[in-house]
Amino acid sequence: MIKGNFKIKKIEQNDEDLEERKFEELIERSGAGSHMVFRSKNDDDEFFIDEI
Amino acid sequence: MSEEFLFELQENILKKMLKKKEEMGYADKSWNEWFEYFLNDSKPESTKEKLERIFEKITLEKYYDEWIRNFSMNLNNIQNDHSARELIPQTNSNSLSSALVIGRGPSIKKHNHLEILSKSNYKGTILCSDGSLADVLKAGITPEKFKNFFVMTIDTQERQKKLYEDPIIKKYGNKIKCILSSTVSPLTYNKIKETGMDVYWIHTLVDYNKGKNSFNYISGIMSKTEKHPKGLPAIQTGGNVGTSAWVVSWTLLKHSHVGLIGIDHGYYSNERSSDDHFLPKNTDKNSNEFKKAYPEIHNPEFNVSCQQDPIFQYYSNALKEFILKASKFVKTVNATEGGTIFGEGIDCTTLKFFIDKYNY
Repeated sequence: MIKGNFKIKKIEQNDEDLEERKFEELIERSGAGSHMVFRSKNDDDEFFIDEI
Repeated sequence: MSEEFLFELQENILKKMLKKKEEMGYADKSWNEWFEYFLNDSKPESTKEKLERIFEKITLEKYYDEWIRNFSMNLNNIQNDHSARELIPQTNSNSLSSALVIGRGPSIKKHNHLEILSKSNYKGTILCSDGSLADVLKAGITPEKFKNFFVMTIDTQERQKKLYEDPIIKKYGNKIKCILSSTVSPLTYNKIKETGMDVYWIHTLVDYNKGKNSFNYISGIMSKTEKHPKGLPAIQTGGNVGTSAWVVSWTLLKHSHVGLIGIDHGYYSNERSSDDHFLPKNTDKNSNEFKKAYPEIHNPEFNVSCQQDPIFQYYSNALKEFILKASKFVKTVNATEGGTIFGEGIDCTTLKFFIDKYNY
């Protein structure tokens, strides 16, 4: 077994990161509809599936 | 400031890590750069992706249980009513035909669109969002004058039943076809049936990409009966009924041209259109994050500006992307004369022009 050390450097949060965090918080407080956008790796399935 | 984190590794794991780091071209780079690369933190998430990620999480947390409850209570009716598949025309799908999708965005009043449509001789299909139905009928746009007349509900909250309570709906109900998501509240279903409408069930896609454990897959299997051996078809909703109606208009009803009115995905004032959209309190409206979440959008096609919120950004980003992607199957004409739906693949024009040009 090998023992190693990670030296953890704390990165000061810059203004951009802070703004993005506040943006996400604002989105979370802005409401929600009852449905969501559906994503699929198969483009043919994204709009309509005849039989599921 | 830094701190040390002690960890233990088996020698063969360390060898594998070193080999992998070298193979990936990171032999001379720091461990941090390598971890950052394969943890995919190096690719910044776009605002569109961020909105989709957050709203997917919120929607699933808030509504997933409700979808399952509603579906289970609707199952008997789903098995005995019509499948939306029955609405697929059996005639030549290459022929020209049009539909008009009607939302309840503020532009519909601003431009007297219901009055214009009511007085027209439009021959195409009328496809109303549930929120617009009562106003549409009151404006004289009735199934007696416009023969192919549909309404649609996908929202799962009990409050949707109120949209079917206006007495005028009962007057015309037996001539209106209602396309209904299998996850709507049974109270909404009961109210719709009281109006005399025929119900055509459809599934709304939420998690079909997760395979056999998904709610979509399980509910799909449960919907298959002797009457509906293939179950129900399923559609993309784009998160809202307007986008759902647009999807239905060309995938299911097979129209070659689809017009949109009352689909603004934005506001012209500080009024909020429904219970789902909040303007959070104690927010600095001059902050960068507020301007990004609630941007002012100028629509150059109609030379108007309106304000969006995060939900409308989420909806409009998806609808614009879908319209472009689907442009090989359907021509979409935004006749809203306002709002935020513009861009590549979207024709923007007046309602009068749409009716004149695509009157089939």
